[in-house]
Amino acid sequence: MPKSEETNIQLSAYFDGEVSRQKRLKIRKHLENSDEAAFELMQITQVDHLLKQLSPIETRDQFLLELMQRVSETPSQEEPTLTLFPRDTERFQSCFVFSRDQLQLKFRSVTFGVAVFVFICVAFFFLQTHPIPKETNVPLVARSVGRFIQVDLVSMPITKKQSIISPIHIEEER
Amino acid sequence: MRTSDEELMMRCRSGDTAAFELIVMRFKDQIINYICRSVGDYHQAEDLAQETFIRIYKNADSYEPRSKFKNWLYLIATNLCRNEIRDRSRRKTDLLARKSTGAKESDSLDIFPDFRYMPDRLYEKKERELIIQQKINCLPENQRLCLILVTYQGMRYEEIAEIIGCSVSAVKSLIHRSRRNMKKLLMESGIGESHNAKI
Repeated sequence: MPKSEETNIQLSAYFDGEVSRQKRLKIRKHLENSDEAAFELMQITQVDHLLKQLSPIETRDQFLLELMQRVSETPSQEEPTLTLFPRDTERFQSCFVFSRDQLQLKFRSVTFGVAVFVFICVAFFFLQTHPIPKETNVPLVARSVGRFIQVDLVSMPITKKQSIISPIHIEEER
Repeated sequence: MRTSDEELMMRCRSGDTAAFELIVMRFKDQIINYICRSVGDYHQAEDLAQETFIRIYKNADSYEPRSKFKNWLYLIATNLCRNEIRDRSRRKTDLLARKSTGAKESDSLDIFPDFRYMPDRLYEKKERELIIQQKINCLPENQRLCLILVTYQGMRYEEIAEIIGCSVSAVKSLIHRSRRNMKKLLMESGIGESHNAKI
């Protein structure tokens, strides 16, 4: 950001009384020495003056009546929405200043995303802790499924064994 | 002794409608002014203000007394304003697209109202006000909201940062840019020049 731009930002904050005491004194000094800065401040004042020419809007008398009528028709509590983890959602929501309405949709997708992520992590961890034996000549998916089935090849009769073990393994056995 | 807004809100939480009514009485003018300046339409502003208060009533349970009630109220109003501004710009884009494809011109009347034949608008002051409001509407969303909050609502930068959802330094920058843009826009429409001449 150029220095003049930064100075102008500070001047605008100075105009709104949003600078520290020390900075204010510094800006005052700068204003005494710089015509450019003084002109910028004058323009800020002019714009603010013009903006404040807008007369305040008066509220209709009926506004309150209409509103209270609408309020009497609405229940004080919002209907509960279906979420995977409603308690967590509420905890999350109370952490933030945003309104509940805005976040409901976001949290639903976030909860779903987190659930998918956790599932993937668990699956990955399981595969890491239970390595698939590489020597078998069976496709990866079949091997993963086979682990769950756990076929006992030793106690199995020879005829069934032959149907399960691939021809390569039979060759090796011979 | 004046009951604080937070105290009233706590009463409202326990189902006290009178407390809610008092809250509405306190803030209705400020909120309508804020929304009206932001969206540039009184009727729309009234609808949105009603929606703001209804949301306050509905979500009274989720209100935490540790945060300032006024900021919470303005945050809800700001979110509604943002939605409205975005919807409008979308409708405007749709309209321009339809216009280019040869749709009826009368469709645009609700978006671009013609004030030329309204007797009230003939007065110089009113006309000037109208131009200023139109120029405010030309500002980008965040610049507009920041400028309105600081100029018409007299809010501190810290409060604005909480409402808009950005840092104080970002608010400083947004306000500066909004003023610079407003100066440019007003000069273009001839308002700034005449005012300069007077000074």
